[in-house]
Parts: sequence; structure tokens; C-alpha cells
Amino acid sequence: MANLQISGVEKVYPNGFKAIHGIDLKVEDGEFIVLVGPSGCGKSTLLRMIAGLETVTGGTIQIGDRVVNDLEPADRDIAMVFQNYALYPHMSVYQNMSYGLRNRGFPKAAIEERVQKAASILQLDGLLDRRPRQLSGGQRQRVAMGRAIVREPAAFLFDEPLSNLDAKLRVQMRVEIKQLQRRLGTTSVYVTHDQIEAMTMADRLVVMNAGVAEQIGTPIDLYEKPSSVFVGGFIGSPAMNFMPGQVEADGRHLTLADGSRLVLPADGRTVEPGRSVTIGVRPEHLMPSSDTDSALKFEIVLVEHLGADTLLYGLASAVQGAGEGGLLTVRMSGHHVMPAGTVIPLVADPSHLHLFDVATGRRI
Amino acid sequence: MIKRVTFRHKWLPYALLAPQLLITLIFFIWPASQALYQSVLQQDAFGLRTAFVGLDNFAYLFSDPIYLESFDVTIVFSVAVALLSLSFALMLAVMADRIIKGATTYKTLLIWPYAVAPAIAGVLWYFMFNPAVGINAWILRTVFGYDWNHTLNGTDALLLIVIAAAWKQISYNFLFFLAGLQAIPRSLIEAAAIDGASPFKRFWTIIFPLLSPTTFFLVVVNIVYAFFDTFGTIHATTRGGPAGATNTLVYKVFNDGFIGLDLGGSAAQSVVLMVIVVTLTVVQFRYIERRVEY
Repeated sequence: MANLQISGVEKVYPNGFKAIHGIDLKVEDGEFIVLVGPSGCGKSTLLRMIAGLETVTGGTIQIGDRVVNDLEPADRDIAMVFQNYALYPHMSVYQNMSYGLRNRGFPKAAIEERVQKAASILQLDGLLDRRPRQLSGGQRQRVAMGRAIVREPAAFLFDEPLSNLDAKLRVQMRVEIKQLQRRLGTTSVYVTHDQIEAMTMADRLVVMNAGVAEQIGTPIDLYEKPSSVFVGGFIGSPAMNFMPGQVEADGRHLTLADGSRLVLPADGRTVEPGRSVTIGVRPEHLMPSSDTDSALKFEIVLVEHLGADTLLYGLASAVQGAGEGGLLTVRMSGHHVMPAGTVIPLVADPSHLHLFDVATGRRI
Repeated sequence: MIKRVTFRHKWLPYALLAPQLLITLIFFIWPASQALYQSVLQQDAFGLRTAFVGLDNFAYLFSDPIYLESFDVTIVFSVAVALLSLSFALMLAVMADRIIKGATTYKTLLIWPYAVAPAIAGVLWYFMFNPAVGINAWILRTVFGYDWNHTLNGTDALLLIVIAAAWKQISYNFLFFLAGLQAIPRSLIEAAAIDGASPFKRFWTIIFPLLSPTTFFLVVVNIVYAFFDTFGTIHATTRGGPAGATNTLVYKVFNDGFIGLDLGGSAAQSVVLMVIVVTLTVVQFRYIERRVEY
């Protein structure tokens, strides 16, 4: 049990490529942190640096009250669950789980006790004599978890542990991992590229992009107040809609590219009149309107019926300029039948409009 | 399901198979059957009369102390060659697997010896260990005070051909070990590192067991090599001597058949070798299939 502190951590590869551009993160004891981002954003690199599998070229990593920058992975008191599980194929489940303890010279009785305890937590009781290849994907995943928990480390590190499982099992294991972590109260850092996994599991999320932590916060914080166009577009499914707009002279309305108007949120934020902005609005915050004059024209191209929701994909001339191909997504709750080709007027919920700077992409 | 190929003409598949069948027939089946046939015959010294003697040739072989000694020499030689070349190859492969700068150069250089003909390899080492002019013999004499002489000392002679034969085989083993090492997922090694295993322990508890299918395959291949493919090495260096100290089974077949002109006895020895190689092949096929999965 320990907290984890990452201060100004950088990673520059010998070939000069800078993978991590100075990240600061303080993980509280028992917290579940998820690093999320597209492939190549440096999230796995950061995790591997915490584990000691990559060297740290700048800044410090502290586990508990020890700076671990130059410690071997074995001496950092962490356990890691790998994407491909990394189970030792020539060892039984019992041997896999006890390997770390045996290497550390634990007495036989203590090893036996810890493995049995972990096995019963993970429902692996009857499988201890099996080899990894005789197990299903979910069972292998549990063995990998078991190998981590028998060590009772200061922190768990997860490197996309669910990406090799099928969709149904993934949801199940997601819940199991989260419950287990709550029960053990072990500080955890979890890497994933799946934003649903990130949203559902995290106490706090770190959204990474090109080696930079774009935003750190609780899932709902990130959903409701994305700090940049990148975070807004990455968190949430289907993704946030973006369109260009300009603040009108009265400072209370926005004009879009097609001449339609949106009402600015009246939450006290002031945006100088005449400023060009990128407007972000989530699909569920766009709704059909009866006011055909100032509303956004939206031509339905495709309708997806999910039962609880109906997703409308369509073209809007207001979006064209944003380089998004003019595509807009609208989510309506309930089941609606709308033929493709229908043009409907849309308005946005003013309290859920996100404004971003055109040049920097930062939230205004 | 495998798609079956159908030919329009009945003779076409046979015609396509013919060249391979012909080669097998001329260079394998025919000599092998000749050996089998000759092994039950005996000829007089001038080749004028031939008599059918049944299994007398075999009975004589297994009561001949020289033949049994040759068996021992071959076993010692094969085990030594396999052990030496496998351990060196494994060591080199582990090192080449770790290296980052100039990896391709090292790998290329390490593969070169395989291209050297056995006889040349033998002669190279023969010169290096030559008691009069060889650098290695000189080092052994001046630094270690050991008077190396493979023309007089049987142990030295056996060592010489072991080194020459093993040296050539290191390249082959190295390639397989390197491929085997690269097939081990990096994350397994990392997991073991996090699990607190030292590099030495990681090697013996994770890497070496995972290489075991490769190792087993190579043990069989190396023994077959030492048994059958080292004629050139021996013929170019010790010629079975001194006093039969390096007279392996294959060399003895040649020696008895073409120098001693005992065709029947030599053929009987060939048949024994055939049985050995068949056994080794069966062992390899039976067990390798099973051991590939852990």
C-alpha cells in the first residue's frame, strides 16, 4: 500500500524520439488511475517506466517514499499484468503464481497459504495443477491477476489486460478487476486505449496525447468539462461533434458556417464578441427543433437503432468547414423511425456547449 | 480442408514425380539395397569368388573388439561434439540476442563457418594444432606446459576432431537457438524480472525450459551430424588414427571397405548405421511433435 508520485517524467529514446514530455501525476494510496489515449501516445511507455522496464530519462518516479528511478523492477514492490498475460507456459498455475514468492525466498508454508488464498478469491481453486494452455482466456487472465496479488505489492500495473478477450468476457473481467481492486485497496495504474473501459474503471483518468497528459480528472469531470478538443473527441462514444463558429456582437449567440445560430451558455463565462471558436457538442445534446429559421439543417444519412437509443448520422453544412467531412451525430433516447434523406432542424442544449480556442484547441 | 488437386491426364502426376523418384531410386534405394545384399556376402581378397554367408558378417562384427571400440569412440565423439557445439551456440545466441548495435554483422559472421567444407574445417584446425607449426599447439606448450601432439596422442587426436567438427556445427545451432530465443515473448522475461528472478535464474527457469523443443531437436540433429557427416573432417586430419583413437563407425566403413577391401564386413557396418539413423529419425519425429507444446 503506497502512493505513487510522478514528477516531470520524460522519456527520450536513444534515437532522439521524445515519447513522454514531462508528466506530473500524484496517485493516492488505493486509487485506481487509468491512462488512456490513442496508440503511440506514450501511455504504455509511462507504465513500463513505472515498472522499471524502461529507463527514465528525466524527472522522478516515487513509490511510497522511495525514488525508484534506478531500482530494478524486482525491487520496486510492484506487480504487473501484461496484455498477453505473460504466463510461463511450462509451469502449472500454482508454479506461475508462486514463482515471484519463491524467487524472494518465502517459506513454503507462506507461499502455499498466499496462493490458496488468491486462488479462492479468483475462483481458480480446481485449476492449480493445470498448464496455461489448458485454460480459457478468462482463466488465464485470472492467473495473471493471481500472480500479481500473491505478492501483495505496493501497486498493481495493468497493461491493456483485457484487449485479448472477447467483448462479453471483457465486460465481466472489467467488473471483476475493479471489485478486486476495491477489496484489496491496492494502488493501481491501468493502461487502456478503450475509453469505455477507462470511464467505467477509473477513479481518475489521465488522457494522454503525443506524450503529454492532456487532462487528469474523474471520468465525469472529463466528460462534462473536457479541457481540449482532443479530450472532448476522445472521451465519449459516439464522439463529440465539432463545428466552427463565431461569437456574435451581443456575446450571447454563436453564428455557424451555414448561418444558423446557437445560444451561448449563460453560465457567466464571457467570450469576447467576434471571436472565432470551435464548438463542441455531444450527440445527446443535439435535438430536433420546431424553429426552422435559426436551427441547424441536418440531413439524415444513416440511422442506427440500439433499442434504448437511436443514433442519427447525417450531413450538416455547418460542419463542413471543420474538416470533419460534414458529418454530425445525434443521439436520441428511445426508438425513432426516420428515413434517410429527411432534413430536420436541430438545436443544441446551451448548457452543454463546449467552446475551444481555434488555434490551440484548449477550452475557453 | 485441404483442396485436392485433380489432373486431367492420368500420367501427368507420375511424370511430375518421376525426377524425384529417380533420384531417390538411384542414389538412395539402390545403394541401400546393395549394402543390404553385400552384407550377407563374403568375397576373397582378389574378388574372384563370392559366397553367401548369412549373418556371419554381423556376428563377426559384434565379436570384433576393434569394432566395439569404434562404437565407443563414436559415442564419445558424438556426445562431445553435440555438447560442445550446443553449449557454445547457445551462449553466442544469448549474447547475439541481447546486442543492439551491429547485431546483423555479428550474426552474419557467426553463420560463416557453416559454409566451410568439412575437410577444409578439419585442415584449418589441423594446422592450428600442428605440434610443429600450429599456433594453438605453441600456446598450449608455452603457456600451459602441455605437449600437444595429435599424431601420437589418441586423446589429443580425438579432441582435435571434436573441436573441428563442433566448430562447424556451432553456426547451425546458433541460428536455431537465436530463432528460438526470438520466439520467446519479451513480456515473459519482463514478468520474470518483476517476479524477482535474477538474469541467471531467468535463463535457467524460463528461457532454457522454453528452448527445450529447439534443444531437443538440435541434440538429435547434432548426433546425426557427428555420426554421419564428419567423414571429411576425420579423413582430412587424423584418418582414424592414432591406433584407432578417432576411428568412428562411418570412417571405419570407408576404411574397411575401400582400404581393407572387406566389402561384406563394410556393408554390414553400413546396415548397422542405417538402423541407427532410422532409430534417431523415429525418435526425432515421435518426440519432437509432442514436446513442441509444453
